[in-house]
Amino acid sequence: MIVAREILGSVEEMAEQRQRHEEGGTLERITVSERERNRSRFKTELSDGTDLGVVLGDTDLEPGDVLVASDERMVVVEFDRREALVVSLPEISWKNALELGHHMGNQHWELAIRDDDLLVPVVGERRLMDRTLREDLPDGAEIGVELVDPELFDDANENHGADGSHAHGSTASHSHEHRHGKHG
Amino acid sequence: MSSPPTHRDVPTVGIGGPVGSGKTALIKRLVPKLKDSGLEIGVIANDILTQEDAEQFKRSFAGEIPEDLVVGVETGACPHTGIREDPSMNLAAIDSFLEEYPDLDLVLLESGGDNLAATFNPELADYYAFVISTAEGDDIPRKRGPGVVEADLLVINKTDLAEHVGADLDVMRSDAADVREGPSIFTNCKTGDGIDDVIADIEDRVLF
Repeated sequence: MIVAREILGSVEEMAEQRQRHEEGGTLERITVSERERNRSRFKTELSDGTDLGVVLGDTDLEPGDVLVASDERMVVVEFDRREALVVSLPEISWKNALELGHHMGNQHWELAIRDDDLLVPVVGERRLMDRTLREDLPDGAEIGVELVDPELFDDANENHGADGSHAHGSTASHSHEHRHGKHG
Repeated sequence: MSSPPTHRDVPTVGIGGPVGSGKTALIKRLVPKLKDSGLEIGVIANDILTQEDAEQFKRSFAGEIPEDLVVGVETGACPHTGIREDPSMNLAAIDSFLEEYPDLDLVLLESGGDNLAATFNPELADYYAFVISTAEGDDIPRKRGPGVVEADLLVINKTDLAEHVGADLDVMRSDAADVREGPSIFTNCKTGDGIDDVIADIEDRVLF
């Protein structure tokens, strides 16, 4: 078992090593689930069956992070995309908007707003969520499904700027935010 | 100087499940064995309005783990809010453990008795087991509750009661395998059957 206790850098920063591993067929991209990326530790399995433990404490994982870089292999993080219901809304009154927000809040759903669309990540059975969501939708609203970047649902307040970040690796250009109570 | 440890620095294991499924009994079995393997453990019991489970743990673990490493969190609302929507009270309790015990090896978090939808916020639990009992009916896994489907481990407890309530363990095993990707373990917390398997899974997936 390999245990990664720090992020070695981003794959962009480590271009030379990446090229060598890419050419040698030893570059591995692991898909990290929504649950794993929010945990302070998790265990996963590499393609050759080797267990990889990831223990990062207060450091947030980001796509492109390098967890392992040795002669034998380079392991790079990718985030699993999340399935989301996308609600396209017509112009609605503040009263409709309030009712819809109350209804969605009652379901304890996460929510992102993209232009005039509401995005809700699918948890459990999509069919049941779709049915519940339709109960309070105004006329003219439509529901679609998309696979989206999971970071879309991260709390905007999580980013506290310079005080919350730190640099690591051989170059200081790639920094990671410390988390500040993302309880979504 | 390195910063003091926070809740992100200690492995955390959640134990959730419906009322009466055996969450408290499971923790009472786990703690002495984990302690025997050399681990320093903290225990947090979530209850809606009481400290009942925490007091029970303090009595059970007297002499085994320090009294200030057992605390009760009163969620004051739906039991799942403290472990899913807003785990801040639990996170604060872990942080206060670490002020006194910076080398703590593991924190066990018991949820309040809840429904089949209760899951743990990944920020709070690095792993969680969902405990159901055969006495709640052998159709529980088939109902696909998020707690059952998404838990890292499904614990099917009270195997000794199955024959008395007409629960078919084979049906539960097969339904659990159908609705889950992760493992399921049968336990009888009265006798200790299956506890070693639960510990082995926790050690394998969290305590590395």
